Amino acid sequence: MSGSFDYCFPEGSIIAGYALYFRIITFQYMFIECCPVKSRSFSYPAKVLIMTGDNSGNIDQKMRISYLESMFEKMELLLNSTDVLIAFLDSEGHIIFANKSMAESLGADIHNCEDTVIWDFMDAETGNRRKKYFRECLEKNKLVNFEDERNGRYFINSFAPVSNNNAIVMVRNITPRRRAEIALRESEEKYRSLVENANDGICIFTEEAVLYANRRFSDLVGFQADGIIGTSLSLYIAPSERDCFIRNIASLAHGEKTQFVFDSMINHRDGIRINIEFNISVITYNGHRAYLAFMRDITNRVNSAAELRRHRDHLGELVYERTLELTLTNKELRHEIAERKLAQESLQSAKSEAEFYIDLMSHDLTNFNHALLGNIDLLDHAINGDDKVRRLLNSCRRQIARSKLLIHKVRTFSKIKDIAAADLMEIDLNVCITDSINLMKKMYPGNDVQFVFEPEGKKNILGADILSAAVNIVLENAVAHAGAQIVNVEISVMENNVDGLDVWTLCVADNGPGFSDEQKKNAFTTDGNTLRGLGLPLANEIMKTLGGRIKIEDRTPGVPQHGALVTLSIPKAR
Amino acid sequence: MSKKIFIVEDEADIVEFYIEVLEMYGFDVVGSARNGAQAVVKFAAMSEHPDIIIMDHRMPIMTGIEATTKILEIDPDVKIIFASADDSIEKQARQLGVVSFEKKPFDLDRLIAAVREISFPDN
Repeated sequence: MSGSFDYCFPEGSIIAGYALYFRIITFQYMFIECCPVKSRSFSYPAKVLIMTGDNSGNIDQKMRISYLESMFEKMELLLNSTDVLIAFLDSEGHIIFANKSMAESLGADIHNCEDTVIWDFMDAETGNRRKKYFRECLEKNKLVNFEDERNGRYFINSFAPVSNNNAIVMVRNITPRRRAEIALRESEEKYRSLVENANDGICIFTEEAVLYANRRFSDLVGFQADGIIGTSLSLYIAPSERDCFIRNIASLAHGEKTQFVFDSMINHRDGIRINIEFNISVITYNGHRAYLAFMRDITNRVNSAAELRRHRDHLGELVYERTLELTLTNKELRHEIAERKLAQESLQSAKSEAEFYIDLMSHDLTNFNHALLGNIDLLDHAINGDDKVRRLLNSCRRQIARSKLLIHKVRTFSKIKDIAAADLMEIDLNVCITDSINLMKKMYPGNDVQFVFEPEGKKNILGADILSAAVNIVLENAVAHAGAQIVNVEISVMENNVDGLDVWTLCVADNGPGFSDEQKKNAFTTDGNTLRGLGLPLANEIMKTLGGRIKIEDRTPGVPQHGALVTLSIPKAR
Repeated sequence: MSKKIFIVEDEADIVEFYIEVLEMYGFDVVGSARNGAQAVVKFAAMSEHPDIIIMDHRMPIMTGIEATTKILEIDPDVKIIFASADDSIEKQARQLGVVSFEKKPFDLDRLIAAVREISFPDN
């Protein structure tokens, strides 16, 4: 159908008040715009004029009306079934007809919105804007299309002039499409920004040419993107790497891989070579196979790796040198250890030998002393009261007692280092002192010796045998070196605490010549000087073994000649 | 009736001294041995065992400790006095059952006292 038809209706007909106007607006969209028109807005004659192609007027009127009624119904159904907003306006914008979609859009009832001004349903700005296009349509008598936005919704508006200074307005809601377009545009911008501002160079290329390059790619090669597009990517690859690069791309082209990550090198425009990690994938671009390349500058990484390698090599050299040194040192050390072991074995052998001879000598001397003492006793019985001979025999007994004491000292000294704390037996210190006093009295029977000692209670300590040796040494020193006519030895034991340790302190005070400061200082060392004797050094060793200590002081502080005060502090037995 | 005493000692002078003193004080020395092995043989051969043995420790062939062990196996009632310069074996000797340990050198009085303590425990 083509051309233009006007259908006019008589007043009061079953389709009274409506006329149908339709017309093909554009061939392109095959739009048929239909519009029922109120009769009062038009001054049509009572006789229906049907404009046909030939205007013959020979059509049966009833048939025509019936036909028109049928057409109207179809047109109305058609108009209300579209989601396009359609209204027929008079020159002032009064709604002559609005289809269902338009009425709903305006928020009005389809039958009650007629005769109201359409612009009144809109905010002032939108109304004025549309009114302006509406005027333009009427004034210029031409179709006016424009797009606008209202309350976040998007519309394409079309004003089409019709007869009698009226117009049809058609509005299509394109909000979903427009929103999709906006979202797409924003997404594109986002990705474009992402790609453009990426730290990695990005390009799309084929075997022949670069199709896209981002800013970072331009920075890497030193050319503007416009100059890069259309050139071959292999031009930017360092010559030494180019063959390898082409082979890698070929492997992607042959489908051996879909992604390839490899290190290569590119040439910057300034001649600088840059180490690059390529990550290339096969993509479809504009319907054709292409490659998407991410290019990461790994110069720092390569330099660091090279530096690391140098350091590792250097470290390897150092390790080798040090290992060599250590091997030599180890060899020397092993040699020294072997020598020391040999020396220790020699020492141990010598010690064992010495101990053997000391033991043998002690035993045999003891047996000799034993026999001698027995015979002296028998002789004493036999002499029958000769005082002079008895004094001589007593002198023999003293020498034997001193010999016994010396043997005891030497044996104790030889084994003192090997005595363990666990080997020590418990003894009452008072018993030890009393035994020692009795021994001294036997050893020095002729001397005028006075021991002052009053034992009280039990004073248990550990170290039965070796402690008696120490007490003997101290008492013998007091008696033997007294040098006085009457030897006076005062002995006492007191409870004490030394360095947080509970001890019994044995005090032996004599009236002998005392110790000078020099003698006090050297009293406990032998230094190979046999003149000093074994006594006090041995007593010192014994005290160390027992965890105690020995001390030499003046009996009267600052006056050595008044005699010595020797104290032995011995830990209490628990 | 005097107590019978057997002496085990490798030093001849000491054996002589023991015999002199013990007989002087009325004890009957029934024999002596110069080492532990000899002592065990002699002791086993005796028809009547002595009351007391004075036993040295460090002797050739067999020590006093070994001889004591064997003799006490033969006759657990015999009283043994250990007379030694080795005080380190005192504990072991007492565990074997010796009744007295006298450390050399000791005098005549000590020897007589030890023998008397065994011979006349009630006194």
